[in-house]
Amino acid sequence: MAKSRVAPRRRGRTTVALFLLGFLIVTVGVIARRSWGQALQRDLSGIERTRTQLSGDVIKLEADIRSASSRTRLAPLVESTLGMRVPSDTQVIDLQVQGAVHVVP
Amino acid sequence: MSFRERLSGLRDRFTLMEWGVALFACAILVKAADVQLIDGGKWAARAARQQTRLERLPAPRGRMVDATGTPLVESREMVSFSIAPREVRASERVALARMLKRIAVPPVFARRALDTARKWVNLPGQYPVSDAGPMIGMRGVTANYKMARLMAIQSRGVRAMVGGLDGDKAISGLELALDTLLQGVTGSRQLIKTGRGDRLESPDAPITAPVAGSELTLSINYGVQDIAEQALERAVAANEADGGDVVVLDPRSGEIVALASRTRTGVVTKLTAVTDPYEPGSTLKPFIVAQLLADGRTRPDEVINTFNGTLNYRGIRRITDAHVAARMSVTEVLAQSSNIGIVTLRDRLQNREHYELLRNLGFGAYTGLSYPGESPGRLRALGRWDQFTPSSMAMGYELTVTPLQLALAYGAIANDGLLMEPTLLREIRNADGTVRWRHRPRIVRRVFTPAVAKAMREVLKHTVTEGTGRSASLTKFALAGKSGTTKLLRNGSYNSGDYTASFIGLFPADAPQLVILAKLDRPRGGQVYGGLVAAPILKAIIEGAFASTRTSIDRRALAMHVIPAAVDTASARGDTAAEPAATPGPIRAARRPRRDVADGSVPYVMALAPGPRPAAAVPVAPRPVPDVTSMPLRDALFALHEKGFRVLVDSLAGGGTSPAAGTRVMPGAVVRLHRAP
Repeated sequence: MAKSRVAPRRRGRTTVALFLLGFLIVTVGVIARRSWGQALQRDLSGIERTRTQLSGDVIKLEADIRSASSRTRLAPLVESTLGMRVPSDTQVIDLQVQGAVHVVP
Repeated sequence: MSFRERLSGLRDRFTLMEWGVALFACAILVKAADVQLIDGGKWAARAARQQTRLERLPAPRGRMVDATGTPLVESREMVSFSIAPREVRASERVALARMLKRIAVPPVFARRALDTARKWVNLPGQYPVSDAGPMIGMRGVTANYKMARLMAIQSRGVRAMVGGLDGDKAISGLELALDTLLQGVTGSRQLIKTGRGDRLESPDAPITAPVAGSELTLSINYGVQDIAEQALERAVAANEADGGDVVVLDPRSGEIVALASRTRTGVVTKLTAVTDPYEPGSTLKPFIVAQLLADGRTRPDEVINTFNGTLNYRGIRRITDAHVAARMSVTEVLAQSSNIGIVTLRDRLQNREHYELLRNLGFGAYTGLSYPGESPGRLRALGRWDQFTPSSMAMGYELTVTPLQLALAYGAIANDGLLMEPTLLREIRNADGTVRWRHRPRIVRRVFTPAVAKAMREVLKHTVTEGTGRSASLTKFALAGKSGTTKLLRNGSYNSGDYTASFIGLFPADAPQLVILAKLDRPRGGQVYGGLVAAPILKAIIEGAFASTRTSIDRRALAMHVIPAAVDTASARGDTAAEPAATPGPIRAARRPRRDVADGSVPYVMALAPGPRPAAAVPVAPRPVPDVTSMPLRDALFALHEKGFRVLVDSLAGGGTSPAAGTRVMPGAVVRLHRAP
């Protein structure tokens, strides 16, 4: 009689313990997954930020190249250091080249 | 009290407690049901507000590119900083100080940023993210990201053309004129707050992506712009001028290829070629001749009396010429820019004809360019002319025009008599690349017949070959042009010593691809005449454009218009440089130019490929008269002029027009606007 009273209590406690353990495992899993996701998202945001930053740098560098290769910047240097000048209209000779494609809109 | 009674009392208390606990549990359940079922939505929304944050995603403004696709202005992410000096870690203070110096924060603000007596400091300016990278993430440093405009080329003219922003607000130039197109659509996303206070993007949170603004393709050709700016800069310096302007225009389409403005200080805040009118002087003379040619009232070879350089005009004023001659042909009158000759010819026009000619050329009216601050110039109404006005206007005084207006008027001579509407815009594309709008050349009105325009180009060739514009002459190609030298009006009188020197050329003269106007303000380097100080600017621009592969010259079409004399001379000299295989006609001639260069110089050889075909002009067709009934007078006039009609305001009531709104009328026709006083 006493045996039959103890057994259901133990089974109940075991069930509760298992339930709590399961809850703990699921909770830890959820938190771990969430932390992992957040870390990934942080990395993604960082990469996206870097991409935007590099795109900005590309724009800036291209602008610098255009500025450095502009006629206003180069012509005085070329004229003073190399003694070159803009050719007169008679010094420019146009040649027909088969298949040449050079169209400036 | 027996044990049984005490036990019974205890049970009663337990029962009471149990009931209490049960009631409490019920209360919790009821509240939970209330929270979950009844007010669930409200609490869920409150939780979402607390755990998430809606972030605006700014849309980048649209790019502007030139006609070849070269970026002119773009958007780039920049960062501004706010600093809480007390929160900066002691170990990072030195690094922060170094960074502030590196990104060139003004020393005053750098000191404040490190002053722990202050709670909060906003640093001025915006900085490239890559330059300021190490600062981002420091404790006490708050970074605010913004999209900022970056000029992709170093050009004062383009900078003034594009204009600027004050924060997010467009304040000048094309940025202001086309703000609604350049602005994108702001997006948004929800960020989740983490336990550490970070904000992270949630993969399943709703996101509305920003839509970038439209991309504008301008008609500007950066290659020609660069050449024009350099030529103008050198001319301003060499002639000690206060400043100057250059306009390069495609007369066939009205597209502005280059617009350069320059001041002595180098600061250019606006396009003075569009905003600042001036008295054009002798550059206005050819239009009188064109009108007389159109009416058959003169011929280019007609000889007229020029009174040996001095004329007492109707007893009211003394007119003199720099080039003294007893008689000149009409062609010589323009070539030598004879004031006496043009005033004599002008007398063959009635004042109304003269006035209508100037109105038809677009003077005194807005050109329709999408640029804020454009000036219409000043053309005095016919009723306000005095006895001096006709002769003054014949010589280009008593009216003001912008360089752009004048270039467009010469464009009518270049374009077989058709006045075109100017444009800085060639194309507008949506952010996804689809074409939203494309420019189609628009004719304002026909001013001259093709025969008159052609005759005028022939006449103006002589100005360059034999007249005042010889400094602009080319060896291989004919150039048509006209010089102008105007005394500046100061304190109500015209003083010698202050001049505006200008020159306008059509290149090449026979089939103009470009109309180029160069103007210098107050040249003081010894020479003041337009033919001597402004004409060389044109030559420099044409030679530079011809030697560059980045310009929009149609070389194949140009090869058809090489001066035969240049080839003949080359043949006579036995010059065989770079002679290609024979091809028929003028193209072969183009490949055998005279080489008038010193021994040892190397010809600059380019591949000749088909150039771009100019866009076909829209044929002149009748247009509907707009409905201006409910408009104020000023707006009604603008709307009618914009359609290309000439407007006469009468005193009839009704507010309508004659012909009535909706009637299709040819551009250039007179529309009467009924406005009772």
